[in-house]
Amino acid sequence: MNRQAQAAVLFLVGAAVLHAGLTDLYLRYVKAGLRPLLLAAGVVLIMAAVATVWYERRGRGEAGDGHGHVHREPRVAWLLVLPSSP
Amino acid sequence: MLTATAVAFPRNPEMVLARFVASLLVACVMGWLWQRLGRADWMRPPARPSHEGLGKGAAFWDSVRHDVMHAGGFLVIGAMAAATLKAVVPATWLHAAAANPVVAILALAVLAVLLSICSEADAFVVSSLTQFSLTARLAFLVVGPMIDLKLFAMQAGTFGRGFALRFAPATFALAILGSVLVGTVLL
Repeated sequence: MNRQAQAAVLFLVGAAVLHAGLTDLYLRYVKAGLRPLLLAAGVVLIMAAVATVWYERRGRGEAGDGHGHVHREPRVAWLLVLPSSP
Repeated sequence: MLTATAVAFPRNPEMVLARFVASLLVACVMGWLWQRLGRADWMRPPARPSHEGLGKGAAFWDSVRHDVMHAGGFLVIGAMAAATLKAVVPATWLHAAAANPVVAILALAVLAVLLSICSEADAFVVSSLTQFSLTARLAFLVVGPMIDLKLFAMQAGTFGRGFALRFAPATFALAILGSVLVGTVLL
């Protein structure tokens, strides 16, 4: 899974968490008291997605492709995009 | 975790102490055991992502991304396993298992591994299983946070299968032993 795909997954998960937290959907999964944490987690995930894209672009501009190895994350992370029945 | 246990067992406050003592005991013994018998070559150290040459912000968001990607995938595996089990295993099996004290302890220990419930929620799940003895429920509470499907998947993914296959059964056996010992003394 390369960086762009990871940014996309982070954004999708963050958007899904925010969507659940901003509607009553989240009550199916967690207690009402956890709403602020859920919203904060959604915001952090989307920030992580934006930061990943941002640093990926800047990094490419500066270092070119003299970067020897590309650190790839395990394929198990793809499971995060599995759909769930709302 | 202990607060949750106290709330879940309002009539058995000794359960909180028992959980604390048993968990601490097993964690210490496991550490000593690893120090004496463990071999470094069983463990494949995880390839650390290098943060060299990155600014503070870049290193921070790189770690966030890395951790979410690793933990998230394994979390999905644990959730799928727990959901499957809940849908597949009939409730009558539980009643049959509760009748025998030895089978009750083993059954709840195995259930803790298979269900992979978060350690802050497991006390509420098991406190409702009143047909099981307190010691059996203690075994559930000690085994669950130490070894379950999602933890095994994470250990195998991080340190390699050779490590996880040795570490997980040892932890499982020790956790049962520890809870039986503490259970007979305190409960």
